Amino acid sequence: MEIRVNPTRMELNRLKQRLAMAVRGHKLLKDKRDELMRQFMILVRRNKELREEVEERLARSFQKFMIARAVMSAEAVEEAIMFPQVQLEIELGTQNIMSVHTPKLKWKQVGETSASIYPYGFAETSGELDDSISTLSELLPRLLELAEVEKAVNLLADEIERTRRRVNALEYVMIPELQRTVRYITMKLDENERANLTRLMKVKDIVQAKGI
Amino acid sequence: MKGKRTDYAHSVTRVRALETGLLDKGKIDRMAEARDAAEALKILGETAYGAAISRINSPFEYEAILRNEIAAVRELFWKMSPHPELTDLFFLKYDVLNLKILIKGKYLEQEVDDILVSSGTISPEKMTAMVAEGKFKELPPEIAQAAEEAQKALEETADPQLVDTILDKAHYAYLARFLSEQDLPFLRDFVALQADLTNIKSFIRVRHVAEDDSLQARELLRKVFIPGGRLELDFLLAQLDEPLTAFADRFSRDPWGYVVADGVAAWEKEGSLTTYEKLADNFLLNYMKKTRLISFGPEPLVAYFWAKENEVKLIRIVMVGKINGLPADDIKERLRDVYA
Repeated sequence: MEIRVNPTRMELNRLKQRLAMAVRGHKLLKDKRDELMRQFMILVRRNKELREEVEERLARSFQKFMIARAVMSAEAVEEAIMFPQVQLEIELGTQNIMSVHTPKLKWKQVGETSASIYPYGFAETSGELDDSISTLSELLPRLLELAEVEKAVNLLADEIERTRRRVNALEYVMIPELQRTVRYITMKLDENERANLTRLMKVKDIVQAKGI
Repeated sequence: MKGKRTDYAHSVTRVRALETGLLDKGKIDRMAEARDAAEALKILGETAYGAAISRINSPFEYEAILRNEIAAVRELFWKMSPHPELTDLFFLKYDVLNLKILIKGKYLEQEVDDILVSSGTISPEKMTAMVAEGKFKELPPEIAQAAEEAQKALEETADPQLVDTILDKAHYAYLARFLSEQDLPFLRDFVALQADLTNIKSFIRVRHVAEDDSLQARELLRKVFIPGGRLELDFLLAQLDEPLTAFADRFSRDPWGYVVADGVAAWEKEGSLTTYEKLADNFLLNYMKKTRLISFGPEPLVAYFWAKENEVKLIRIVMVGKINGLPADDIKERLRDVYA
């Protein structure tokens, strides 16, 4: 469907300008989409890697914890881990990927680093607890990174979706529509021109015939 | 020893009667083979635990049963033991546990009422008040002093591990001193064995967690070492640089040498202390079985308590395994012997 316009030369000029703009915008958005895709693929790959690693190690840690839990009473486990030895402070910033604002987490340990990350004595606790705690402790930075990457992937996916819709709208709706309207006006103008010409020729004929 | 051995004639007889009610291997194995946690609990319901099980709503509440079971043993000893201060000795670990929880809770300004245990010699309420006021007169001197020390250490260093290690040390030091004074060699030896086996386990753990820092390993071992055993701290410190297998060989002549040898072998192969912990538990349990030859004295009572603790541990292993869907074979692999 074309846009309803007055088929005038002025309108034609305006439309031509809009068409040029649309084509340029389309090209730019397409480039943006391709670059977003590229960034997205990098992040997705990283995300997959991290997630697999985190999940595998978490599963192992939980299994160890379960074994520890099986040989210690609920209260003893609770007592052993009620007071964390190491505390992390997380600072939330943003980073800009293709003008998409994704979260950037910065973390640092609060207080001095003490000799051990184990907040419990060894006499009344199971050895399985050590591995569980140390795995979790090593894993925490990974988990934070995973959170960061996963959110970035989400946001990028949204942005890609949006950009793609705009590219498609331009490519399949806007541009063809403008092109059709331009053609319509051109044809209308040409038609007018031809009508004018014929009329003139007819007038000339009549004038000659009357021999004025 | 306080009182005469014959003072225990009545209570030993009662305990002997109660021992027959302990779960046997067959029951535990059947529980391990049950389809799920609910079915395992149903099998447990056929035993002396039946009444307690009918009172809970879901298999996840099994922990409450186990807690009550230990509290009930304490109650029983309290009533029938001619010298409760002797039989109370082994319940002291619950007091120590409560102390640790309360001291940490006080520092963190956290409500801890719901994780306190009631199986200790001092009620949780009283213990809460004691920690709040910082007065520990009713505790044995070693532990009272350690409680104060632990509080101070926590204020100064904010290191929760210190609370555990200071109190653990005091706990074992007190047990060893008290039993030596009371001239109860059997129990004294038992505590020594417990301390030794624990120290060896700590030794392996320290080596693992502070693998590449021998200074840190030394410091940590000093921190977690508990007194009361035959092994000296210096001996263990010197062994830190030796290979583990050589370390295990040192105990080949001890009756529990195989525990260390097999435990270390499994540790080197699988990186897990499960085997060692199981063998050590079994060894201690078998040691306790010798009390069957003692007709009068506090030992059979302690043995019954130990057997009950072991039983509770077995049930917990099965239930945790069942709730988490562990295969029956994996559960059985972790099960300890039974006393019965």
